[in-house]
Amino acid sequence: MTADLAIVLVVAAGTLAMRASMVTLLADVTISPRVEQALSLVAPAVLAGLVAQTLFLDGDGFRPIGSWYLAGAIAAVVAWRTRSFGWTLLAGMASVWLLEVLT
Amino acid sequence: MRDGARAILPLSIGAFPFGLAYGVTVVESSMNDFVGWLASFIVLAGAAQLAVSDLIDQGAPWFIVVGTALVINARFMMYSGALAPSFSEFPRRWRIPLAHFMTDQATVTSLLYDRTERQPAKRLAYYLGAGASFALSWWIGTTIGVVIGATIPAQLQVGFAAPLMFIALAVPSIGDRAALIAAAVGFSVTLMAKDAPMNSGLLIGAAAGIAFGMLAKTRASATSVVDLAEGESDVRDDS
Repeated sequence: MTADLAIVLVVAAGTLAMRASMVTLLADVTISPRVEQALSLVAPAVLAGLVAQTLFLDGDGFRPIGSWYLAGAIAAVVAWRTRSFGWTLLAGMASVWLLEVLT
Repeated sequence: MRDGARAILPLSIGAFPFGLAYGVTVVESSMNDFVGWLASFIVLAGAAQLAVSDLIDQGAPWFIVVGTALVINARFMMYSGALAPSFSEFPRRWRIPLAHFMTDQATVTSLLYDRTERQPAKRLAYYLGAGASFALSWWIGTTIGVVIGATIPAQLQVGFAAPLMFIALAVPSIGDRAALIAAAVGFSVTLMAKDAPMNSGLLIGAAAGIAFGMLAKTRASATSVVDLAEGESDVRDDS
Protein backbone atom coordinates (compact mmCIF):
# COMPACT_ATOMS: atom_id res chain seq x y z
CA MET A 1 0.00 0.00 0.00
CA THR A 2 2.63 2.57 1.07
CA ALA A 3 5.00 1.64 -1.74
CA ASP A 4 2.17 1.75 -4.33
CA LEU A 5 0.97 5.08 -2.93
CA ALA A 6 4.47 6.58 -3.12
CA ILE A 7 4.78 5.47 -6.77
CA VAL A 8 1.40 6.97 -7.74
CA LEU A 9 2.14 10.25 -5.92
CA VAL A 10 5.47 10.65 -7.74
CA VAL A 11 3.85 9.81 -11.10
CA ALA A 12 1.04 12.30 -10.37
CA ALA A 13 3.46 15.10 -9.48
CA GLY A 14 5.66 14.41 -12.49
CA THR A 15 2.68 14.27 -14.83
CA LEU A 16 1.25 17.57 -13.58
CA ALA A 17 4.68 19.18 -13.91
CA MET A 18 4.87 18.09 -17.56
CA ARG A 19 1.30 19.16 -18.31
CA ALA A 20 1.90 22.57 -16.76
CA SER A 21 5.43 22.96 -18.20
CA MET A 22 4.85 24.77 -21.48
CA VAL A 23 1.58 26.47 -20.61
CA THR A 24 3.22 28.25 -17.67
CA LEU A 25 6.76 28.73 -19.04
CA LEU A 26 6.05 29.31 -22.71
CA ALA A 27 2.78 31.16 -22.27
CA ASP A 28 4.29 34.61 -22.47
CA VAL A 29 6.85 33.73 -25.12
CA THR A 30 5.96 33.80 -28.81
CA ILE A 31 6.55 30.44 -30.44
CA SER A 32 8.52 30.32 -33.69
CA PRO A 33 6.69 28.95 -36.77
CA ARG A 34 9.10 26.01 -36.91
CA VAL A 35 8.36 24.96 -33.32
CA GLU A 36 4.65 25.40 -34.02
CA GLN A 37 5.01 23.12 -37.08
CA ALA A 38 6.70 20.45 -34.94
CA LEU A 39 3.99 20.74 -32.28
CA SER A 40 1.27 20.26 -34.88
CA LEU A 41 2.81 16.86 -35.65
CA VAL A 42 2.80 15.71 -32.02
CA ALA A 43 -0.81 14.53 -31.96
CA PRO A 44 -0.66 12.31 -35.09
CA ALA A 45 2.72 10.82 -34.11
CA VAL A 46 1.89 10.10 -30.44
CA LEU A 47 -1.66 8.91 -31.07
CA ALA A 48 -0.59 6.55 -33.87
CA GLY A 49 2.07 5.21 -31.49
CA LEU A 50 -0.57 4.65 -28.82
CA VAL A 51 -2.74 2.77 -31.35
CA ALA A 52 0.26 0.57 -32.19
CA GLN A 53 0.94 -0.05 -28.51
CA THR A 54 -2.59 -0.81 -27.33
CA LEU A 55 -3.88 -2.65 -30.42
CA PHE A 56 -0.86 -4.57 -31.73
CA LEU A 57 1.11 -5.24 -28.56
CA ASP A 58 0.08 -7.30 -25.58
CA GLY A 59 2.63 -7.49 -22.80
CA ASP A 60 6.04 -8.24 -24.33
CA GLY A 61 4.91 -9.60 -27.71
CA PHE A 62 2.51 -8.99 -30.58
CA ARG A 63 -1.18 -9.63 -30.01
CA PRO A 64 -2.27 -12.80 -31.84
CA ILE A 65 -4.25 -12.12 -35.03
CA GLY A 66 -7.93 -11.98 -34.13
CA SER A 67 -11.09 -9.93 -33.74
CA TRP A 68 -9.30 -6.86 -32.31
CA TYR A 69 -7.29 -6.31 -35.51
CA LEU A 70 -10.31 -6.55 -37.79
CA ALA A 71 -12.51 -4.39 -35.53
CA GLY A 72 -9.65 -1.86 -35.30
CA ALA A 73 -9.38 -1.72 -39.10
CA ILE A 74 -13.15 -1.23 -39.46
CA ALA A 75 -13.06 1.56 -36.85
CA ALA A 76 -10.16 3.25 -38.68
CA VAL A 77 -12.08 3.22 -41.98
CA VAL A 78 -15.20 4.61 -40.29
CA ALA A 79 -13.10 7.31 -38.57
CA TRP A 80 -11.55 8.27 -41.92
CA ARG A 81 -14.86 8.39 -43.81
CA THR A 82 -17.05 10.04 -41.15
CA ARG A 83 -14.50 11.96 -39.02
CA SER A 84 -16.95 11.38 -36.18
CA PHE A 85 -15.94 10.11 -32.71
CA GLY A 86 -19.40 8.67 -32.08
CA TRP A 87 -19.66 6.58 -35.26
CA THR A 88 -16.08 5.35 -34.84
CA LEU A 89 -16.65 4.09 -31.30
CA LEU A 90 -20.00 2.57 -32.21
CA ALA A 91 -18.62 0.79 -35.29
CA GLY A 92 -15.58 -0.48 -33.36
CA MET A 93 -17.48 -1.88 -30.38
CA ALA A 94 -20.22 -3.38 -32.60
CA SER A 95 -17.58 -5.09 -34.78
CA VAL A 96 -15.65 -6.54 -31.86
CA TRP A 97 -18.86 -7.92 -30.28
CA LEU A 98 -20.09 -9.34 -33.57
CA LEU A 99 -16.72 -10.96 -34.28
CA GLU A 100 -16.68 -12.45 -30.76
CA VAL A 101 -20.10 -13.99 -31.37
CA LEU A 102 -19.13 -15.30 -34.83
CA THR A 103 -15.78 -16.83 -33.89
CA MET B 1 -18.52 24.94 -21.40
CA ARG B 2 -21.48 23.04 -22.75
CA ASP B 3 -20.04 23.15 -26.29
CA GLY B 4 -16.82 21.51 -25.15
CA ALA B 5 -18.65 18.85 -23.16
CA ARG B 6 -20.89 18.15 -26.16
CA ALA B 7 -17.99 17.90 -28.63
CA ILE B 8 -16.11 15.44 -26.44
CA LEU B 9 -19.23 13.43 -25.47
CA PRO B 10 -18.61 10.41 -27.75
CA LEU B 11 -15.09 10.17 -26.32
CA SER B 12 -16.42 10.58 -22.78
CA ILE B 13 -18.75 7.67 -23.48
CA GLY B 14 -15.66 5.73 -24.61
CA ALA B 15 -13.80 6.71 -21.43
CA PHE B 16 -16.38 4.85 -19.37
CA PRO B 17 -15.60 1.29 -20.61
CA PHE B 18 -11.89 2.20 -20.73
CA GLY B 19 -12.15 3.28 -17.05
CA LEU B 20 -14.10 0.13 -16.30
CA ALA B 21 -11.37 -1.98 -17.93
CA TYR B 22 -8.69 -0.14 -15.94
CA GLY B 23 -10.63 -0.64 -12.67
CA VAL B 24 -10.92 -4.37 -13.36
CA THR B 25 -7.18 -4.56 -14.16
CA VAL B 26 -6.36 -2.90 -10.83
CA VAL B 27 -8.52 -5.34 -8.88
CA GLU B 28 -6.96 -8.30 -10.72
CA SER B 29 -3.39 -7.04 -10.24
CA SER B 30 -1.43 -7.06 -6.99
CA MET B 31 -1.60 -3.25 -6.91
CA ASN B 32 -3.48 -1.81 -3.93
CA ASP B 33 -7.10 -1.23 -5.02
CA PHE B 34 -7.51 2.12 -3.30
CA VAL B 35 -4.25 3.48 -4.74
CA GLY B 36 -5.18 2.28 -8.22
CA TRP B 37 -8.53 4.05 -7.89
CA LEU B 38 -6.89 7.22 -6.54
CA ALA B 39 -4.55 7.29 -9.57
CA SER B 40 -7.50 8.01 -11.87
CA PHE B 41 -8.05 11.28 -10.02
CA ILE B 42 -4.49 12.48 -9.46
CA VAL B 43 -2.70 11.04 -12.52
CA LEU B 44 -5.64 11.13 -14.95
CA ALA B 45 -3.83 9.36 -17.79
CA GLY B 46 -5.12 5.93 -18.83
CA ALA B 47 -2.16 4.57 -20.78
CA ALA B 48 0.29 5.39 -17.98
CA GLN B 49 -2.05 4.12 -15.27
CA LEU B 50 -2.43 0.77 -17.07
CA ALA B 51 1.35 0.49 -17.34
CA VAL B 52 1.77 1.26 -13.61
CA SER B 53 -0.66 -1.43 -12.45
CA ASP B 54 0.83 -3.91 -14.93
CA LEU B 55 4.43 -3.26 -13.81
CA ILE B 56 3.56 -3.33 -10.09
CA ASP B 57 1.85 -6.66 -10.74
CA GLN B 58 5.01 -7.96 -12.45
CA GLY B 59 7.03 -6.90 -9.38
CA ALA B 60 9.09 -4.28 -11.23
CA PRO B 61 11.28 -1.99 -9.05
CA TRP B 62 9.73 1.40 -8.20
CA PHE B 63 12.07 3.43 -10.40
CA ILE B 64 11.13 1.37 -13.46
CA VAL B 65 7.42 1.87 -12.71
CA VAL B 66 7.82 5.64 -12.21
CA GLY B 67 10.19 5.98 -15.18
CA THR B 68 7.88 4.13 -17.57
CA ALA B 69 4.82 6.15 -16.52
CA LEU B 70 6.68 9.42 -16.95
CA VAL B 71 8.05 8.38 -20.35
CA ILE B 72 4.51 7.54 -21.50
CA ASN B 73 3.25 10.87 -20.13
CA ALA B 74 6.07 12.91 -21.65
CA ARG B 75 3.69 13.54 -24.55
CA PHE B 76 1.84 15.96 -22.28
CA MET B 77 4.84 18.28 -22.51
CA MET B 78 4.24 18.40 -26.25
CA TYR B 79 0.49 18.90 -25.75
CA SER B 80 1.31 21.62 -23.25
CA GLY B 81 3.29 23.38 -25.97
CA ALA B 82 0.47 22.97 -28.47
CA LEU B 83 -2.02 24.49 -26.03
CA ALA B 84 0.34 27.25 -24.84
CA PRO B 85 -0.94 29.88 -27.32
CA SER B 86 -4.49 29.47 -25.92
CA PHE B 87 -3.35 29.24 -22.29
CA SER B 88 -1.36 32.47 -22.62
CA GLU B 89 -4.71 34.29 -22.73
CA PHE B 90 -6.03 32.50 -19.61
CA PRO B 91 -5.69 33.98 -16.08
CA ARG B 92 -2.36 32.94 -14.52
CA ARG B 93 -3.78 31.25 -11.39
CA TRP B 94 -6.03 29.08 -13.57
CA ARG B 95 -3.27 27.66 -15.73
CA ILE B 96 -1.99 24.87 -13.43
CA PRO B 97 -5.41 23.55 -12.30
CA LEU B 98 -6.58 23.64 -15.94
CA ALA B 99 -3.43 21.82 -17.05
CA HIS B 100 -4.45 18.84 -14.89
CA PHE B 101 -7.33 18.13 -17.31
CA MET B 102 -4.97 17.95 -20.31
CA THR B 103 -5.85 14.47 -21.60
CA ASP B 104 -5.25 13.28 -25.19
CA GLN B 105 -8.96 13.68 -25.82
CA ALA B 106 -9.43 17.16 -24.32
CA THR B 107 -6.28 18.41 -26.07
CA VAL B 108 -7.26 17.23 -29.55
CA THR B 109 -10.86 18.44 -29.14
CA SER B 110 -9.73 21.88 -27.93
CA LEU B 111 -7.06 22.30 -30.60
CA LEU B 112 -9.69 21.66 -33.28
CA TYR B 113 -11.95 24.30 -31.68
CA ASP B 114 -9.13 26.83 -31.25
CA ARG B 115 -8.50 26.78 -35.02
CA THR B 116 -11.70 28.75 -35.54
CA GLU B 117 -12.40 30.41 -32.16
CA ARG B 118 -10.16 33.35 -31.18
CA GLN B 119 -11.93 34.60 -28.03
CA PRO B 120 -9.96 33.53 -24.89
CA ALA B 121 -13.00 33.26 -22.58
CA LYS B 122 -14.76 30.94 -25.02
CA ARG B 123 -11.61 28.85 -25.49
CA LEU B 124 -11.22 28.48 -21.72
CA ALA B 125 -14.85 27.46 -21.19
CA TYR B 126 -14.63 24.99 -24.07
CA TYR B 127 -11.43 23.40 -22.76
CA LEU B 128 -12.78 23.17 -19.22
CA GLY B 129 -16.09 21.71 -20.40
CA ALA B 130 -14.31 19.09 -22.51
CA GLY B 131 -11.61 18.28 -19.94
CA ALA B 132 -13.82 18.07 -16.85
CA SER B 133 -16.68 16.13 -18.44
CA PHE B 134 -14.23 13.63 -19.95
CA ALA B 135 -12.49 13.19 -16.59
CA LEU B 136 -15.84 12.67 -14.85
CA SER B 137 -16.66 9.74 -17.13
CA TRP B 138 -13.20 8.24 -16.53
CA TRP B 139 -13.69 8.56 -12.76
CA ILE B 140 -17.14 6.94 -12.82
CA GLY B 141 -15.85 4.10 -15.04
CA THR B 142 -12.85 3.46 -12.78
CA THR B 143 -14.96 3.52 -9.62
CA ILE B 144 -17.47 1.01 -10.96
CA GLY B 145 -14.64 -1.15 -12.35
CA VAL B 146 -12.87 -1.28 -8.97
CA VAL B 147 -16.13 -2.00 -7.11
CA ILE B 148 -17.53 -4.74 -9.32
CA GLY B 149 -14.10 -6.00 -10.43
CA ALA B 150 -13.82 -9.35 -12.13
CA THR B 151 -17.59 -9.93 -12.39
CA ILE B 152 -17.64 -8.19 -15.81
CA PRO B 153 -17.92 -10.94 -18.46
CA ALA B 154 -14.91 -11.19 -20.77
CA GLN B 155 -17.24 -11.31 -23.80
CA LEU B 156 -18.03 -7.60 -23.33
CA GLN B 157 -14.45 -6.80 -24.47
CA VAL B 158 -14.21 -3.63 -22.35
CA GLY B 159 -10.45 -3.64 -22.91
CA PHE B 160 -10.97 -2.86 -26.62
CA ALA B 161 -12.18 0.62 -25.61
CA ALA B 162 -8.56 1.73 -25.15
CA PRO B 163 -7.20 1.16 -28.71
CA LEU B 164 -10.58 2.19 -30.12
CA MET B 165 -10.43 5.57 -28.42
CA PHE B 166 -6.90 6.17 -29.71
CA ILE B 167 -8.03 5.26 -33.28
CA ALA B 168 -10.93 7.72 -33.00
CA LEU B 169 -8.44 10.45 -32.03
CA ALA B 170 -5.53 9.55 -34.33
CA VAL B 171 -7.41 9.46 -37.64
CA PRO B 172 -8.96 12.99 -37.53
CA SER B 173 -5.61 14.40 -36.35
CA ILE B 174 -4.17 13.53 -39.80
CA GLY B 175 -4.90 16.69 -41.78
CA ASP B 176 -2.14 16.80 -44.39
CA ARG B 177 0.73 14.79 -45.91
CA ALA B 178 3.21 15.68 -43.17
CA ALA B 179 0.79 14.55 -40.47
CA LEU B 180 0.19 11.30 -42.37
CA ILE B 181 3.94 10.66 -42.50
CA ALA B 182 4.28 11.51 -38.78
CA ALA B 183 1.50 9.03 -37.93
CA ALA B 184 2.83 6.24 -40.17
CA VAL B 185 6.37 6.58 -38.82
CA GLY B 186 5.15 6.96 -35.22
CA PHE B 187 3.09 3.81 -35.62
CA SER B 188 5.77 1.60 -37.20
CA VAL B 189 8.70 2.79 -35.09
CA THR B 190 6.69 2.21 -31.88
CA LEU B 191 6.20 -1.40 -32.98
CA MET B 192 9.85 -1.80 -34.01
CA ALA B 193 11.00 -0.36 -30.68
CA LYS B 194 8.74 -2.59 -28.60
CA ASP B 195 11.72 -4.15 -26.85
CA ALA B 196 13.42 -0.83 -26.10
CA PRO B 197 14.41 -0.48 -22.43
CA MET B 198 11.91 0.90 -19.89
CA ASN B 199 8.93 0.80 -22.28
CA SER B 200 10.41 3.77 -24.12
CA GLY B 201 9.16 2.45 -27.49
CA LEU B 202 6.29 4.94 -27.64
CA LEU B 203 8.53 7.93 -26.97
CA ILE B 204 11.07 6.77 -29.59
CA GLY B 205 8.23 6.20 -32.09
CA ALA B 206 6.72 9.62 -31.44
CA ALA B 207 10.08 11.40 -31.77
CA ALA B 208 10.79 9.60 -35.07
CA GLY B 209 7.30 10.45 -36.35
CA ILE B 210 7.70 14.15 -35.58
CA ALA B 211 11.18 14.23 -37.15
CA PHE B 212 10.01 12.63 -40.41
CA GLY B 213 6.91 14.81 -40.49
CA MET B 214 9.11 17.91 -40.15
CA LEU B 215 11.28 16.66 -42.98
CA ALA B 216 8.19 16.34 -45.18
CA LYS B 217 7.08 19.86 -44.27
CA THR B 218 10.50 21.30 -45.03
CA ARG B 219 10.61 19.52 -48.38
CA ALA B 220 7.07 20.67 -49.25
CA SER B 221 7.92 24.33 -48.60
CA ALA B 222 11.23 23.99 -50.48
CA THR B 223 9.37 22.59 -53.49
CA SER B 224 6.85 25.43 -53.48
CA VAL B 225 9.71 27.98 -53.45
CA VAL B 226 11.24 26.29 -56.51
CA ASP B 227 7.86 26.22 -58.25
CA LEU B 228 7.34 29.89 -57.51
CA ALA B 229 10.74 30.66 -59.00
CA GLU B 230 9.68 28.85 -62.15
CA GLY B 231 6.68 31.13 -62.40
CA GLU B 232 3.95 28.77 -61.28
CA SER B 233 1.07 30.69 -59.82
CA ASP B 234 -1.19 27.93 -58.59
CA VAL B 235 1.16 26.59 -55.93
CA ARG B 236 -0.36 25.91 -52.56
CA ASP B 237 1.65 25.21 -49.46
CA ASP B 238 -0.02 22.34 -47.67
CA SER B 239 1.23 23.42 -44.25
